[in-house]
Amino acid sequence: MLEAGTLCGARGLVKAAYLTAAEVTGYRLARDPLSGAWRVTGTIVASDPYLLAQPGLMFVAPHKGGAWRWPIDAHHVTGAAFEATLKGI
Amino acid sequence: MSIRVRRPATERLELSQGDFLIVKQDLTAGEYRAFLRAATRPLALSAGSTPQMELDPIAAGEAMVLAYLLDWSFQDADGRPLVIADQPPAVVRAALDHLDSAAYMEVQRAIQAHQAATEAARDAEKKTLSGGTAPDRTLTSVA
Repeated sequence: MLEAGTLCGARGLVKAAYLTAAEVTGYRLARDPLSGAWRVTGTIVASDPYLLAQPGLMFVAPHKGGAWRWPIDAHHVTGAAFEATLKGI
Repeated sequence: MSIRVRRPATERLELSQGDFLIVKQDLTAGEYRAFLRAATRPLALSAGSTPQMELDPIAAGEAMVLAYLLDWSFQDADGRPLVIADQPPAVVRAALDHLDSAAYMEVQRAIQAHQAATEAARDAEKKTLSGGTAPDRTLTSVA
């Protein structure tokens, strides 16, 4: 469980079950100082509009030994900019 | 009206030595088209003829593995997990390329058998759905 701090990575994924709804580069995960919610931002390099509209999306941050996964509470895509609030951190 | 989109589902395929694969139960239309693109090559024809494609038997096997495979229990030479879940296709392909050939063929055969079994199940499902209703008959009264 993350308490504070920032997690940055080169490549993250938005997943609908095992299907990739979006691939996000240069993601940054940090706690919003105002709301206290964990927020992830990044740049979308590939996305599937149908899957992005599905419920139950997960943000997946692959690392050398596997991947961290967090459920997405809400997300916005503006052009190539991706932003989501996560729950369960 | 009918539902034409399946929920993504996975299956676990057991291999020898206690290993297993996690694979997609089905491919979506987009995944199936990507598989076909990867599995075929253009036929060399004379100028002016209609372009045609033929199945590339080597590429088709790998394309099917890459289309279905999500995860596995394999480890590297030092006993560390060989991570492929959520990795880019290039990483999965590289991991497959570094398996010993017998292990690779076991993976490919297991996925081909899974694909054939799934297709047979879908065919049976279609027959059940299309043949489920008896023809509407009106019997003439003899009274």
